[in-house]
Amino acid sequence: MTTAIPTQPLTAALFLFGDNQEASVDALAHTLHEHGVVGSLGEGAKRLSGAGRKAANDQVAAVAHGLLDLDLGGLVIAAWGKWADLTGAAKRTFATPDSSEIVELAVHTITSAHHPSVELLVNDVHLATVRFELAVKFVIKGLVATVQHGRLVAVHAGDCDLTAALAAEGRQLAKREAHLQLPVLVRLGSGLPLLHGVAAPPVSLSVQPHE
Amino acid sequence: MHITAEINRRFGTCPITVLLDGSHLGPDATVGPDGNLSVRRTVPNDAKPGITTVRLATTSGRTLATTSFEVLPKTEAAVATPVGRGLPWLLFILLLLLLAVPALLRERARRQRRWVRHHFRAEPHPSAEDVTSLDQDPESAPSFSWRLQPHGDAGTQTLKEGN
Repeated sequence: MTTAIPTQPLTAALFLFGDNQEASVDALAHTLHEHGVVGSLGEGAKRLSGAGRKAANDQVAAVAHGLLDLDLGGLVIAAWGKWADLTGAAKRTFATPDSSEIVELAVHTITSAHHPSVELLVNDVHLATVRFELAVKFVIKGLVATVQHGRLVAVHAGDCDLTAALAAEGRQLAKREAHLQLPVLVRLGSGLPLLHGVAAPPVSLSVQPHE
Repeated sequence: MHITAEINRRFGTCPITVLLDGSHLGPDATVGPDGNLSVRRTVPNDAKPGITTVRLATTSGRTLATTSFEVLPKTEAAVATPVGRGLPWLLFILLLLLLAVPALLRERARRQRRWVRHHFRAEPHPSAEDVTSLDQDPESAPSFSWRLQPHGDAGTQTLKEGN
């Protein structure tokens, strides 16, 4: 059995509207159109014909899609970076550079709320603002991670129930739930620093005069 | 119907009454200078189908000639009202409209899209108030960790000179 390794980070936009970038923008445009979001933005938008409204809708979708280009794994990592159970291990391993800790973390929930918006301008004059609400929830179980030298360097196991929902102007546009493997979702690269504002450990340096 | 008659040169330029089944059929006709008559008349819509007579008479009422004439039953085309006769035109105009309206709407839509492209702009405003929180499940077993502390051993190296 082989496991597909995603070539790009999982973003909120791709999670909600599909893996293909172009199709994902189209799907967001379609749902915005279906829910009449642009048409609900006051008299200025109402004066546009159907075709004009659709063109405006497509522009809003393209811009909003960019705002939803939010790495979901990055949200998880940012939350872990503030969790005492991990920062404690980070401090201990930072103080003892050769050591490492394997941490089995308690079941926890990470919630994240975002309120991006897209401003619509006609001839550079403000027409309306489309306000979006993105809510993301991760329920994480069975997480086992390695902390080394103050950094989270590996995630060995763990499951995540992920729910994301997007609304615009109070109308729910999309909602999706999925079960993911944490090692696939979280990309640590060379390790995630868990300590901020801590001085680097002393480095032994000697200079010998050349005889 | 086309009525022709050879009367007499003496009747040249005289008015002649045309009667269908005893009723006047159009205005009086005029005999040509050569004594011949040639006129066209329309059979009235209310004429009864069947064999009837066409009579030519002087204005004083003297009959000059009589012949039989069959009024045929009305066909659909013959009974068509002016509105009915205009139906093909109406259908033609409707067809033209059916073809023209979508083309006009497409052109209007194209103009609107172009207008939006030139005058309309959507500007992103990233979320300024993101709230991310982490809550530990109170029913879950607490986190725990294993510490791995390596204790290296460089070993003991000995060097002996000679054999």
